[in-house]
Amino acid sequence: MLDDFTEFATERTPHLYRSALLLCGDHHGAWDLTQEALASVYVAWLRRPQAIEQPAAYAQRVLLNSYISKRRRRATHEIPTDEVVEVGYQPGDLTLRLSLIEALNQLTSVDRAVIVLRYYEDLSVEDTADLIGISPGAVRNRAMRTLAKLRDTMPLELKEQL
Amino acid sequence: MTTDIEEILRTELHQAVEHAEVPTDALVRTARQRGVRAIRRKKALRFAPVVVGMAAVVAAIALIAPRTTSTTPIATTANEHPASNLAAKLAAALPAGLQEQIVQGSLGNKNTPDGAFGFVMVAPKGGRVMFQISVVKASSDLARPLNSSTDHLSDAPRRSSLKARLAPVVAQAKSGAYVITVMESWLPDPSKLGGTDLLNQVSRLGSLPMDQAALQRIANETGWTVSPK
Repeated sequence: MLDDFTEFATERTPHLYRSALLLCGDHHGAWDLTQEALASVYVAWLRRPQAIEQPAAYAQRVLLNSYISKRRRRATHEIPTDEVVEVGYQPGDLTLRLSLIEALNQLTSVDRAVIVLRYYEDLSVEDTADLIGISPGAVRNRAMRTLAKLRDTMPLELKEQL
Repeated sequence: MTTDIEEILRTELHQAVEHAEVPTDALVRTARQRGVRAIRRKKALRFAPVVVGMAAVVAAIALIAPRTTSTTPIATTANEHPASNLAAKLAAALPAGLQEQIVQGSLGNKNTPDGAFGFVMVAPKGGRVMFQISVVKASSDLARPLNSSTDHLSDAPRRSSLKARLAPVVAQAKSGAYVITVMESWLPDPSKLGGTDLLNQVSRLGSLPMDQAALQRIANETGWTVSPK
């Protein structure tokens, strides 16, 4: 049973970590969030394996819930920093990407989760709503407002390219 | 226009993190350790409600008990030994402030070959015992170490001072009467203490906030002598 968990975790961790990285914006937060999600899955895996028929979805839900609840606690609220998110090799338009990431850092936790789930995880509106625990209509509204906000924060020359 | 931003997001979000280094092995290992700790913690907390409940019951009893103890009526029967209710009488003789601090279950009477004695211990709530009030027969084993310990004092002036203070006890020992004395709780075996400690102890005997009139009343009822004065 433990071997099964290790196999699952090894396979799923890269995706969870990258998702956490987009949500948190820094490696320390992503590390902590991923670890917390995996630890919860581990506990559930041992204590009530029947409760997690889809461990990947379960881990994703735990990750998201941990992120939102952490952001709600003021003591651990994200502190804006001058340093941009740490990223590796970046092909494509670097200015555009940095602007987007900076704009993501300004969003509320739920808005940011909506964007990451919809455009990184490629989840449907219904699945996103189910994971976050809000209605599909709310997801659509938040996505629409957030996209408009993201567009507004982009540099003028990039806006003109769109 | 919105569609364009969506496409940009899909591309850029993936590209922003696809080359990020993921410490998979370390994450899986530490997550497992964290999970093991969480399981242990949950197991440990399983009985927490029971423990808290028991602590609450004990605390409730501790709050109620001292009042009932200190107000225990003094019962006398023809067959009872004169010292059998002594502890309760001692408790009643204490001032109101001290009565509330009587240690639960510390009221006691005991018969020894040399005679009976009673005692009561007083302590602030949650603190160590402040002192013990005892009634002993001066000639009993309990009083004897108190007398004999003066022989171990190396400081001559203090020894004579202590002997003078203990003179009433010695006198009562000769006559075989009882004495009421006040001792700190750790004093039941004074012979093990150094002379200075004992001297300090005895010098404090007269300064405790005892209700001297009530003690005298007990003495009158029992025919015992209150000492020291």
